[in-house]
Amino acid sequence: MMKRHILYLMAIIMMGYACSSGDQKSIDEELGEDFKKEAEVKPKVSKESIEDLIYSIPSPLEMTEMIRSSGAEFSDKMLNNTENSKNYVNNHKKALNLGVYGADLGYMNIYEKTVSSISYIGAVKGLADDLKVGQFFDFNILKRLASSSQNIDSLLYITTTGFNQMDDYLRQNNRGNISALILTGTWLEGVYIASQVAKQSGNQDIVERIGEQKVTLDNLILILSAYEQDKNMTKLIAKLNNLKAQFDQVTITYTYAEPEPVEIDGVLVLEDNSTSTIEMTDETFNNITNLLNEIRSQII
Amino acid sequence: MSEEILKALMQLFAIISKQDDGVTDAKREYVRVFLRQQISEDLVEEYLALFEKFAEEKKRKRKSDAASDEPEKKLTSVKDSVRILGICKKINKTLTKQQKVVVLMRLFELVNADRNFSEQRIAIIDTAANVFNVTKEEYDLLETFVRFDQPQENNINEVLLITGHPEKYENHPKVISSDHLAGNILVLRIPSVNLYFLRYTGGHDVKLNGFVLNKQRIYLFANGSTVKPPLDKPIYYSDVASRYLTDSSTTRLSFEAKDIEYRFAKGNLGVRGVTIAEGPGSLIGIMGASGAGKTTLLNVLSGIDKPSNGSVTINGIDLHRENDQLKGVIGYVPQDDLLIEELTVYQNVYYNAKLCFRDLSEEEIDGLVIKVIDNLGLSATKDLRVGNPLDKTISGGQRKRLNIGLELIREPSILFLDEPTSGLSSRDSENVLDLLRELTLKGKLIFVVIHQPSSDLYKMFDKVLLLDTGGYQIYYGNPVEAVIYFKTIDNQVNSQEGECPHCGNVNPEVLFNIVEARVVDEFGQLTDKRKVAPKKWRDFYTEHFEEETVETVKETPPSTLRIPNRLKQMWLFFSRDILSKLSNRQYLLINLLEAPALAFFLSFIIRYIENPNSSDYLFRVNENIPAYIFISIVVALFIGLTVSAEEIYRDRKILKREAFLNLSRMSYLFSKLGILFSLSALQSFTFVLIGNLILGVEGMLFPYWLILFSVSCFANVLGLNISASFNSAVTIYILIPLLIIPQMILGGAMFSFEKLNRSIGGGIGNQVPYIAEFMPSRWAYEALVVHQFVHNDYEQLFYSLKKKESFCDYKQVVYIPELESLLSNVEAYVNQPVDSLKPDFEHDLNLLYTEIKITLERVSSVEFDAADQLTPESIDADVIEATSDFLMELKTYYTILFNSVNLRKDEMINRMTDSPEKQANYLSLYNDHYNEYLEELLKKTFTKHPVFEYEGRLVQQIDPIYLDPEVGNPINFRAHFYAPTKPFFGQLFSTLYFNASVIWVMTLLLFVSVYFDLLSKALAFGERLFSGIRK
Repeated sequence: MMKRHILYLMAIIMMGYACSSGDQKSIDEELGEDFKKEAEVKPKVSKESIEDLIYSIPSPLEMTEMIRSSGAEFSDKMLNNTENSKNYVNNHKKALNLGVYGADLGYMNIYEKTVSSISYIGAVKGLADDLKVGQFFDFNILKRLASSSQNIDSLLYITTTGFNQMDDYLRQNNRGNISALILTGTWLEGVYIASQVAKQSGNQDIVERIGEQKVTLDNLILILSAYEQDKNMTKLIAKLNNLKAQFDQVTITYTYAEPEPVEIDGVLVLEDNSTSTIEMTDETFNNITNLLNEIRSQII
Repeated sequence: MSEEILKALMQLFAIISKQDDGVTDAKREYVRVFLRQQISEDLVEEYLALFEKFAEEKKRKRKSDAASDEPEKKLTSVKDSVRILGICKKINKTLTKQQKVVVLMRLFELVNADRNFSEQRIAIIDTAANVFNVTKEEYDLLETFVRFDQPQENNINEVLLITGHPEKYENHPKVISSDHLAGNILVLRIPSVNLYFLRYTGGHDVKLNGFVLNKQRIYLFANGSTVKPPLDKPIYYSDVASRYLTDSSTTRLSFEAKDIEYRFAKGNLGVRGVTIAEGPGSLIGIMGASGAGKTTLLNVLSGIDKPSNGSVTINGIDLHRENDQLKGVIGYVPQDDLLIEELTVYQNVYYNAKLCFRDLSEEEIDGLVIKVIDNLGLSATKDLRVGNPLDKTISGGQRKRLNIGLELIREPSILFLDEPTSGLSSRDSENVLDLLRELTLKGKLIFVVIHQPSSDLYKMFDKVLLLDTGGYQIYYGNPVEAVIYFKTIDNQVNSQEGECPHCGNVNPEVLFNIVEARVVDEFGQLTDKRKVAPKKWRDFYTEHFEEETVETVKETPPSTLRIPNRLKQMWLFFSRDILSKLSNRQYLLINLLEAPALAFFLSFIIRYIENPNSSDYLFRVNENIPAYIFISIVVALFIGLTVSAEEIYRDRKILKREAFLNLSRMSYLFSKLGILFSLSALQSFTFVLIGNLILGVEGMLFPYWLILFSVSCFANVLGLNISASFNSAVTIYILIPLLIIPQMILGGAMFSFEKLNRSIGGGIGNQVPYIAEFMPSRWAYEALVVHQFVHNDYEQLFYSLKKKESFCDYKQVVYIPELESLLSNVEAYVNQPVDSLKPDFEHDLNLLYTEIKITLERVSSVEFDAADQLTPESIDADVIEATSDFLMELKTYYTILFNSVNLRKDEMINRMTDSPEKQANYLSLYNDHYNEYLEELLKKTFTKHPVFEYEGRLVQQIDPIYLDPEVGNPINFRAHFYAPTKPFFGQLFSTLYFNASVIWVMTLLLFVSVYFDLLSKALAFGERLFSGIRK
């Protein structure tokens, strides 16, 4: 009887062997083989030039801060619903929308809608995790900060730092494409929100700031084109080029004036007296607004 | 007696009566008495009238005949002869042989009524005997018996004489003396039908079953009857029957118990110095006050308990040491009814018979069963469920008889019964003892523990053994003698009268009154002190009586037991159990419905839709999936345990009886397992089917079933263990939480292993504490969550890529930065050595060295020459710089790999989503199979310590689900919790099958434990230890 039991046991073990994971190669060995096949893909644009370009792109916070100071009301209708976050399946979309949600988060935080921003923090964290850059966002800390509007400064600081660290990390690790996409998403969402606010309020300052984005867009397209071998990237660049065509209608006239030393809080600073005038027809503005709307709806 | 037969008899009586001098008063009186015994009073007159009518008719006719035909007056008329033939033939077919003999006897009796044995009359009876096919010898036996008051030459062997003057009948073979009897009682046996007739020739009021015997009459001395002379002890059917049997039955048996002493586990003596010597064919009563050790003695005598001193031998074979030679010799009927309540009377006997006789065919078994049931007088209740005392279907007496009958079927030579009459009416008690009495006639030796029997019962014993408190044997011998003995010692007036001189009753209570008489104090109050201590009684006994002896028989005692082989036994146990379970509709219904009902209840309640604005259920965002898995396992444990927890306990009485059959415990356990495992398989299947369907767990039917089934089986066997070891149902059910709750605590689901008390091995990252390794819940839970996460239709596509991605990511994000920080600590010390930091420095350096060495072994594409210089002695700035460069290079290596894997994954997703339909398909695949909360759990997304130093190594904490354990020591099968694979003998096994195997190994170990009854033994040992400590 005992023997029979041992037989059963053997059978189970054999079954286990049969089910054990096939050829038992360690993950290091597999990766070693992968590595040999891998030829390093070098970006066309040198790291330095991309870095310069990136610094020229304004933080989404600048744009939203201006929106708030214009007196526009907060509206969450414009934002990308966090429910969508699980529909982004590939890196391209994930990165773009990580940017989009980042901008939305900034917008909410500027308006001190910290409590309702928790789901956006979640969305940012989720997408960042998917892209394996989640380590820069400590969800627990962010959630705690978001629970009270007292912490608004810390929250803004931590999210901004998080985005910057993530950006650095991605570029350091040859994942500039992801970084560029996040940037693009942020920018697009920022301009989109501004355009929506401007459309409703007709605030000329905001319209002008939108017009200024002509330069940023040019730089953005330049950065993205470094990765245009990617099919999705090509499509995106094509869309942005359409937008660029409209922005090209905007004229920016730059008038130079001598900077003036001014004492602020006992510190002497130079005040830039140069001005730039931005001319944009209503038609162009409408076209830009519509195009932004269209592109955004395609990426979110 | 049917109307027809009665009518026929009346005719016969009439024909006989009218011969010669016609109907005399004596005859009329005889017919009246006869009728009174057969039918109710109001019908007697009717039949008597009928008899008169027949007789008159005949007489008239005869008168007319006589007128014409005077010379043939003395002969029976031809017409009458023809009529007699006709009547006899008519009733011939409706009567059994026994009845025919009785009819013949009645005819003789009628003739004897006026003692006129004329030729005609005898001729008529002769005709009837011919038609009835009664042999000449038996016909003669009947005639002689009726005619003569003394035994005659031709019936000397078949007549037993009960006489007050045995000296007169010294040559007669069968004499029972009854000292004060006037006249004789003659008993006649008709061998072919085994009937006994009795008649009394004297003038005393001798009673047959309480009725005074009529001198003229001949009585049927039926089974169990007692004939009681007024001044002597009664003579039982069994006494009489044994006289006829002794020469034919020759059971060779000797039963000797010498100086039996039994010590309880707690150390006190239960039985001391009991000595018994018996041959075959005796009925021995064991009596004593409550707690005197009667049952203990019975248990020792029957071989259940081993005496601490002395020995019990049967035919010279030691019962306790050589019991394998005594298989089937002993039968034991405990006090409680050991019946399978759910089965019918027939089925109870049937299965018992099947287990006793392997060589009988189905018909033979059936015949045997029917015979036993008939013998027990249970034919009418044959197909009734036995039920229990609260839910009665058959009476207590019937239960008791059935209980004894189960032992009788195999006819053991020695039978022990523990209080077979307790709770029975006196009528039922008598029936039971009659049954036993009859068995002794067949040469059986029967021991009966009986508590204060009635006079009638008491006198039925051949011998009684009296035990006094403390297990002292204070008397062993004839029951009536006992009364005289104790009365004598007590100096009572009528000490020579064993029984009541008027009614013949023996009051066994007298014995106890004498034995237990207490001292009266000066106020006339009874004290607790006994007049005569048990030991004193024992000394009296040894003074007054010599030790009984019996000739030791040398041959092996007879045994009819032929138990079937183990497989057959298993099948019998199995089918018996199935039958009894099927008959319990409640049990069946609850067992079959509980699993699906719970599954529905559970899954319906936790079918959670996360998005408040949507009514579409998404498996992906159901937060309750991990909990569902865990609760399912708990349910499986619970159901498995409760189903089996009482199995053996409920059977234990039956097992106790069947222990005397030497049946295979393995067969019994296998039959249990067969039933329990089948039930578990079904329950797990219905549970998983419904639960998974409602919660949308797709494609996981088999793995869930496998694990729940395994857990359930484990619980089944665990339940068998406790049900075999604990002594009450309530203890067993109290134990269940004790067994289940640790499984819940250490299952890994409710409390994460890394957040447990450090002293049990918690708090060290992903390690599973040793104690948790013994919890099947932990193996089952891990198996299911891991399998659900890794092998769902969605994750399966990406798992291998994600695994590599996770590996590279960990290296570049966590592992290498950790090494870099170690390196910078080392560098700080090298630049500025502080003695107090030296241990830290050495530790860090050593860890760095170990990790770099292991990395170098595994990664061939990155080289580093200076690794061996990472020692406190040879480290310097150059080595540090080289190491730093190496780490940079290593990071780049993993970065490149990560990017490549990430790109491959992304491309794959892109290909799967390059059209809106494909995208939709992709999303539904994702939503229906992937679960975010499992992901969170298994990737430990929120862990605070992604890497952890443990035993001189850096241990990865994040993404346990993507981390294969290291294959090290071949017999080490432990791995981190949520490992996707398990190492064993240098191989990695799928967690699902590996964990299932672990559960089965545990089940097997538990089975071994229940087979050898290890838990009971451990408990008994613990108890002894505990009582030892208390002392």
